[in-house]
Amino acid sequence: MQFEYSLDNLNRLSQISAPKHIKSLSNALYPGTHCPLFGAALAACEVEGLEALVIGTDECTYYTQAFAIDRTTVDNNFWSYTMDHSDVVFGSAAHVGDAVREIHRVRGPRAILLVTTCVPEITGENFDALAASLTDELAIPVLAVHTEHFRCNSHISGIENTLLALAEVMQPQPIEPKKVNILGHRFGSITESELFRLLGTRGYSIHLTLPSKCHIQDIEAAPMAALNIVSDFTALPLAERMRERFGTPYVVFDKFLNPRRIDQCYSDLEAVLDTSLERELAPARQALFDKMEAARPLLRGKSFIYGNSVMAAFEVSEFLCELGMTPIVIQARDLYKNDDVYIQEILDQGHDPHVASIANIAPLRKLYPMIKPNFYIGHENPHDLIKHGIQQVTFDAASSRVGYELSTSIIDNLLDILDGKKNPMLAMMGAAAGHPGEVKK
Amino acid sequence: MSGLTKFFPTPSDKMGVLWALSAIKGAYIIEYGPGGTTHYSMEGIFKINGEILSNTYTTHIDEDDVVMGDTEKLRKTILEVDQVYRPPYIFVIASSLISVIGTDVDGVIHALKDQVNARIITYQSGGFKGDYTVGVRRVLSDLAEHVVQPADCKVEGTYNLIGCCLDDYRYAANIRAIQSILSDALGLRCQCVFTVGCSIHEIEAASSASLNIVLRHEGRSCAETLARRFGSPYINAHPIGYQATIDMITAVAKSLNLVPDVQYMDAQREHARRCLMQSKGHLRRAASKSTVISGGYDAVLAYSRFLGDELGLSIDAALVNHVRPEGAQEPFLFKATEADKQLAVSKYSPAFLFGDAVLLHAAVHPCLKRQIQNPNLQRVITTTHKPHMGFDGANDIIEQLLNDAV
Repeated sequence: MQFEYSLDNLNRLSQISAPKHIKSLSNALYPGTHCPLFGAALAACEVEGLEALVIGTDECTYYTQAFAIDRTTVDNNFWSYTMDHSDVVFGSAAHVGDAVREIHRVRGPRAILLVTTCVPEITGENFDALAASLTDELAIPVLAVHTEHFRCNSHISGIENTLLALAEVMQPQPIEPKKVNILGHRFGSITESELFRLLGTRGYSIHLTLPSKCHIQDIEAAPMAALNIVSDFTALPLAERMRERFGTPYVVFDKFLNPRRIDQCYSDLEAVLDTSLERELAPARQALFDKMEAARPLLRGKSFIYGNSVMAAFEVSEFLCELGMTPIVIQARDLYKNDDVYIQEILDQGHDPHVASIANIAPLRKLYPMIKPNFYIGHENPHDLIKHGIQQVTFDAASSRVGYELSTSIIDNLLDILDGKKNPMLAMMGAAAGHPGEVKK
Repeated sequence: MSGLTKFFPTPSDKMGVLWALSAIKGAYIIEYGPGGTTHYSMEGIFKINGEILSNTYTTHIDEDDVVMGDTEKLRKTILEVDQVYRPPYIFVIASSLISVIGTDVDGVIHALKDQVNARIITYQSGGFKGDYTVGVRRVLSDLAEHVVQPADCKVEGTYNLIGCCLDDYRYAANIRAIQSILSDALGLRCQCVFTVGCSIHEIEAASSASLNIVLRHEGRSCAETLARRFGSPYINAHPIGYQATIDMITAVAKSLNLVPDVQYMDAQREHARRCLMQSKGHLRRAASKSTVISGGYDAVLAYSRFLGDELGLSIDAALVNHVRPEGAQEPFLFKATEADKQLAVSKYSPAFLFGDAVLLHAAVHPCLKRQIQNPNLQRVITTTHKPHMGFDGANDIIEQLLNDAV
């Protein structure tokens, strides 16, 4: 068996119709994807009044605590139950029950999350039953979230399932017609977004943004909102559940870049709110179209590797194609809702890039000299990119935006990089490395 | 209660293995298991202020692999790393999941032996064979047994440091401090640090060093193996405080039949004398000398001697974060838990706390706190010139005592 890192090992976009078609460039993966446990920690570590107990090996629990401290404070809401070989052989449920009782005694939370990991899932203990029994005993919701990584390939299900579990703490409320919940928004403050400003002009305010720094009582009272706005697909199961349990309607307003899709989101919102937003939206919409027109001559023919961003891989890539750019490799985690639509739109524009599984940078680096893209979209070691004259663009700064302004800021970001205005560190590194020409002025 | 921790559980042997291997330049590590474990552990190393110098890969595994016992991903990954990177050694670490389902990793590797050029060293415990000290010891021993090669001759004036790994708090500064001291006092050169910053090839060549200096008890079996295989002498040292530093220099000098530089030693002794006198005068006025220490065994032992014997502080509690090492006789509390740390702080209300970040966090009363060990909570280290070991380390501790003692 001979191994050679080559794009030929991958499928082209036209061959992608199921997650299994998204192949890795290599068998040896670096750094590998994050696991659902990380997703659960991401979704739950900022909820005050909720305590979370991770059940697993030393390293799963140790590193989750390190993440929670980094993300929040030393006195965060995450605890560890560390399984030893005796727990593996004889079961851990009795000990976990004691641990939950101890947390309840010490912290007096309004809810407790049991987060299981790979080892307890493989030993097959019934933590759902344990959670139900502890719910009765302690008279607070005890919720089980399962985060084994061998049944998926990313942290996304951990976020989804944790958010979904939180629906169980919610209680029926009198509806407040001018309150909305923002579900799924986890980057930056939603209050600074175009969407929020617009809602504000019509007297709407946000009751809850989830996941975010909030109190469990805010989650309990979430059904008071007249509408859920789903700004990330990870919150769709929660929105569905809330509609089932409390009748709360929802609209999907994902972090789309293509103005047609943003139009549709606003249109859906207008229908639910029974109002026209056209007057307020027109300037931002026109600004985006003007920006796209101005950008096309500058970006036409520029090639890119899509690495990662807080947006959807294929939707972002499709938008960049509409600006005239050429995708060479798109790195993707999975196939999600409507990805088939975005894929077809890319193909319809005459592009058929390779598709690689995400979080496996090492073999791709070996191919940079051959494929030589103009841009790398996402996080990667700038040293490795600059050596090959590749300009790095991360969309982090736009992560809190939703609506036309998101797309406009993305274009601004690209043009600034192209113009050498952004990323002075990269420019400096290029000069220091003796390749000042690599950061174009 | 057993198993429950608010902060950090005692790291497992598997974590110790990864920590001990990750700072070796050019080491190739394959973790066989779900990818999230590897990703998480890489990030976790940054949070203990460690720098990763190895090449670490994961195979990732899915439910089919687990249910069907399919080991193809491991086989392909080993073959790929062997062919693409051509490393002399590949370290294969089984995840906890692989350990629990009982995959025969050694069997897979045995079947590959004719197709792979690299020597493969495996770690199959999955984290269930003890705490991190077990893993660190195993790696250090394996390097001595399987990686270090015979040398043509010993190179005079050289030594290896054994047992400084990236889980040691301020390891980079401590290594620099020891290297500087042994250069200034005895004109020696460090050949290889097991296992920080050295390459696999430097480890292979480590048998040519004239002396091995063991910095933590996990390194003793490594030194014993090197003594058995190559006749390399070794000494134990943990140079925290003036006396321990002088003892290290003296032991090294004796072992290599050298005489320390008189001018250097006199200058250090004189400075130490003045610092100790000043600190004792200052401490005489302190309302309390109660001190609590926590950390790894070697650090706790060394600090208790420096703070107790040299500075005259009262060591009321000494808590060791792992199991009692073989032969350790001191009346320390081993396998200390978070509750033990909280209890020690509550019981003694110590004026001085030297320990890991969890111990320091337990104290809310005014006292002098100095982090000397991991686990780390939030402290970020960027400097390499602030050692805890050696003369400068002792000077720095005394400076903190003089300025911050309550």
